This record gives sequence, structure tokens and C-alpha cells, in this order.
Amino acid sequence: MNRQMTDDQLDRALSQFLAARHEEIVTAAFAPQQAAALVRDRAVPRVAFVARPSLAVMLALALLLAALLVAAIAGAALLRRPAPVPGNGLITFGLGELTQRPYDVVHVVRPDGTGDRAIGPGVGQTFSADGRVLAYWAGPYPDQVLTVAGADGSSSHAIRGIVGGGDFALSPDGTRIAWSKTVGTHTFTGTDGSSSGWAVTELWVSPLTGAGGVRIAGADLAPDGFVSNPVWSPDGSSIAFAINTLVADGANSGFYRSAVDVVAAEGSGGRRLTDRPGSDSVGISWSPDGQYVAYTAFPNGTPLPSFPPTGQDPNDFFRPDDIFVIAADGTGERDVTNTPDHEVDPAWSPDGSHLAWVTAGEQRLTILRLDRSNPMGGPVRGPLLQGDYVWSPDSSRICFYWYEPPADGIAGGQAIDVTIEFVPVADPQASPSPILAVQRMVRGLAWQRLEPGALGGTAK
Amino acid sequence: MAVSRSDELTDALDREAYRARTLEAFFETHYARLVGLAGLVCGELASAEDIVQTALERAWRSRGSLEDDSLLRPWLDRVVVREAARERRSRLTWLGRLIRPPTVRDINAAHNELEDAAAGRFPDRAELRSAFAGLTVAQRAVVVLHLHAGYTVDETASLLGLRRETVRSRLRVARQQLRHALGDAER
Repeated sequence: MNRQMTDDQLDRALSQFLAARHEEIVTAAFAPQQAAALVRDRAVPRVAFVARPSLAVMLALALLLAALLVAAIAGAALLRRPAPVPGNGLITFGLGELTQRPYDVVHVVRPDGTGDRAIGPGVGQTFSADGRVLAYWAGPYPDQVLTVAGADGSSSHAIRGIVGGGDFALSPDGTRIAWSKTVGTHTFTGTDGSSSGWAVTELWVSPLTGAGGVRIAGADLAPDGFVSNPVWSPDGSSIAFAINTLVADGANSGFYRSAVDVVAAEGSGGRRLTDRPGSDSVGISWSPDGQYVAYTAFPNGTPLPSFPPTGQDPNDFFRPDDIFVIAADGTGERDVTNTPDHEVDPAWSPDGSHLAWVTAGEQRLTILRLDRSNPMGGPVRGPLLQGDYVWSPDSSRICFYWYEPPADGIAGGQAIDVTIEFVPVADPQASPSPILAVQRMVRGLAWQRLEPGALGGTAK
Repeated sequence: MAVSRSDELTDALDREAYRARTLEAFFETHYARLVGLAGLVCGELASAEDIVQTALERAWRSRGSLEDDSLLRPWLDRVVVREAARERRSRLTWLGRLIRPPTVRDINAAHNELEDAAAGRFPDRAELRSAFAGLTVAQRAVVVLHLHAGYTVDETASLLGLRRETVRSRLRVARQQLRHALGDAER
């Protein structure tokens, strides 16, 4: 740029820049019809203005801060202490067995890789949100029984009446379980005469002390599919879940997630959160404050999954998903990623400061910082991974596992070198730090939360 | 003639549909221009959308007194640009940041900024973008209204409640700063 440019030249360049920037802003903004709908439904004040500071609030906070400052200067050590952060307890994972598939063996290990211990045969292992309970399905499929134990696997016992090995989630306080209960089988016959079927499911919430409980979602919600993937809201009052729908074409059949619903944990007040379809039921994730839900879904204009004509790869069924976020009241749905890539499995960090997902094509972890003090921040490409990942309870790192896919694919029952690793969230592009190396397939990861100040598997 | 409950319901639904159509048409007329102006001044999409939606809602409710577009348009521009400048200032305080947590649209706004930067979508404007971002909100408001929205110096002064000389002064200083920033970028 020439320092000697005239006012007219500068104004013209500036005017062109402003016009182009204006168009960028308009393109990125809500469409006028969407904005009008928000105003009409009074959604905007609820979402956007709820926390705008009023003069009174500013004044009150200023006074409060002044009081805190005085107290700190006077030596109130307690006030100087940072907010308590939960500790990182044990990591649990399932280790594939060579000779007894489809069993996995549930393991727990400290975050520094020491203390690896096999708990017993099982799948679907997870901790309760308070870190006190480890739960998993034990026994041969399809007669698996829910088994609960202390976080280190001690004192395990089966919960009779909670069976089937389907999706489940422990309530935040660890006293209840939301689970997928098989109540029948649907079968259909393809045009080539072949028949196939799938399990008809209901969702139940049951106490961890034994059988019983309440049905929160019936099979009628998904007459051509099934309900799945219950996820508790952080306060334990609500449960979001997926509705899946069948697509059948000749000999081919498959399912896609056709909606996400929310229901009270007592089974009342079921409502549709979004009917935006997506390919993946996994990764419905509540923000830690319970105000938003993230999920995988198709962007606008995406045709529903279908099978390509005979002769083409029938696996080419799904369309690329984006990561969407919607307010818990069902308003303000937004496409967070908005790329041609296929993004899946979103998860909020426990402190709500980040949202992570997997860019599925290259299997790469991606992390978006949500802290507004860094408005120029955005999605940061992290390491390559295989399968699952999990946030550390203190939100400082993400644990995942990695292996080189064998040339002939991942065959069950073969030895394979897998490393369980973590990457610091502050620098996702750093080389991952290994936790544990094993020679079996790893499935499922969960990380125990330790209450601030608690003693336990916190070795780092 | 007796009016049945179904007639009343039909009338109510018709009124609601009419209300929705007119609101939508009102937004289609003004929204894009205003969200661009607000975004240029405050530099944040989420804030710009909030400001414009609020302004348009106010204007739509009182549209009886503002039906003349020659009056309505500058009124909206003034409300939106002033509010955008005020919003930007409030965001710049650490207390403002502390009080207001990020909204979902903040996430997208941050993402859009990053996408532009990562994709190098407008590399030829990178210097201008950086230089413009270095202006104060008061300077931006003047520059946007005068050089982008097409208001004269007198009209800009009237819209912002400033003296004509103040507008000229801010334009002059803004140009100097831009020249300085662009020259620095070249080195």
C-alpha cells in the first residue's frame, strides 16, 4: 500500500473493503426470515439478552468486587484461593480379548499409566458424574446384566432386572440409570427375499438399587426404528435421547437419527428438541450449565440417507454431518462447524470452556475454544485418533487411543498395538503423551471425576 | 350475526399469520443492511444481530409513526450504529466480559472469523482489515456511515449527535491512522 495515496484513493479502497466485509457479515448472520422468527417467538431476549449487564447489576458487582478486594488485602487467604477444580481420577477402558470375543475386559488405570488393573469381562464401562460408581454390562450377549462397583472396581454386584447390553447412562448423582430396554424384534423382508431385523427398544430410568423404574420413552416414538442413546442433563432433571429411523431399499437397510427428544427424568413432558436428521446418534452432549445441547446433524439441503444404485458401494449411505448446537428450550439451532467435512461426536469440556468433536474423514480431534476473551480463537486441529475420546474432569486434557489400521482392516481377535494417550487442551497440536500401550483393541473410555481436594488416583 | 368460537379462532389465526408476514417483510427490507452496519462498527456478529433485532422489533412495534421510509431508514441507522458503538465499548471492559458469558452465536462468530483467517479467503484485504480493526469505535461509526452507508458529513453528524467539525476531525484522524497502519503493514 502506498503511503502517499490521496484521500480519494484511500476512501475508495476503504469503501470497497467495507462493502465486501458487509457482505461477509450478512452472509454469516441469520437470514432475515430467521431473525424475524426469533423476534416473533421472543427467543432472542431469552438467549442473547438474558445476561446483558444492567447498570444495577454492574453497580452491585462492582461493590461486591470492591468488598472482595478489601477482604483479600486484609489477608483473607480463603478469598484468594482459586475456584476448586475437580481432580482427574482413574481412566477406564475395555480391552478386547483374543479368544473369547465378543467379550472385552474392563480395566482401570491411573492417568500416569500406573496401576493398570483388569476388573472383569464386560462392555460399556463408564463412571457416574460424581466419580463414585463404575458401571458396565457383564455376561454373555444378549444376556448381559448391569454391574456396578466402586470406582476402582471393588465390591461389584449385578443389578438384576437391568439387562440387555444396550445404551445406558448413569445419573449425575450415580443413583439412577437411564437405559435402553429391548421389548421385541422388528423384522422385514427385502425385495430379494432376505429378511433382517432389529431390536425394538424403550428407554427406562431405574434406581441402581434394583429393578423397577419408569418408562420415559416408548417404542411408539420410533415406529420404524428405535430409541437410543439417553443422555442426562447436568442437573439430572432431564434426559435427551435419539430417535432412529429405518431406510430399506431392496436387500439393503440402515438407520439414521431422525430426531432428538428431551423428557423429564420422571417420564413427563416429552418434547422434540430438534427434528433435524443426522447420521449419528452418538455424542448428544449437554453443556455443563444445561443451557445447550450439541449433536451431529445434516446441514440444510442435505438429502436423507439412501442407498446408491445397485452395483455401487452400499456403504455410501450417510451424508456429511456438521456439529449443531441448540438451546435446551429448542430455540436458536446453529451449525457450529459448517464445513463440507463429516464431523461427529461432539463433547463439551466439563468446565464449559471448550467444545470438541471428531472430523471423521481423517479421524482427527478438533477443539473449539468458547471463551469470549479470545474472540479470534476457533477450531484447532488436534491429534489423529481412533474411536472414542474423553475429557479429563479438570478440562485440561483429552484422552484417546490410537493404532495404525492394519492393511486388512480391524479384524476381531488379532493382536494390534494400541496406545492410550492424552493431549493438553492448551496445545492440541503438541505431541500426544502416552499413558499405556497394549496389544489388544481398546473400546470405550471414561475418566473418573474426583471431588476437589479428594484423594485417589490423581497421580499425574 | 352471531360469531362462533371457530370464527374467532380463524380470525385470530389470520391476524397472527398477517402479523408474521408483515414482520418478515419488514426484516427483509432492513435486516441485511443494518446487520452489516452494526457488524462493521462493533466487530462481532452476535452483538450485531442482537442489536439489529432489538432495533427492528422496536421500530416494527411503532411503525405507525415511522411509516415514511425516508425517516425510518436514518432512524434505524442511527439507533443501530450508536448501539453498536456502545456495545463495543461495554465489551472492552473487563467487567463486561466477566458478566456476559458467551452465547451460541458467539461461538459461531468466533468460528466465522477463524474460517476467514484460516482459509485466507480475502488475502488482498488482510491489511485493510487489520488497519480498520485498529480504529476506535467512534472512528468506525463515522467511517461506516460516511464512506459506506453514503451519508454526508452533515447527515453523519446529525445521526451521531456530533458537530460537523467533530465528524470531519474523526474522519481525518481515521485516515491518518489507516495510512500509518497500512504503511506499517507494508514494511
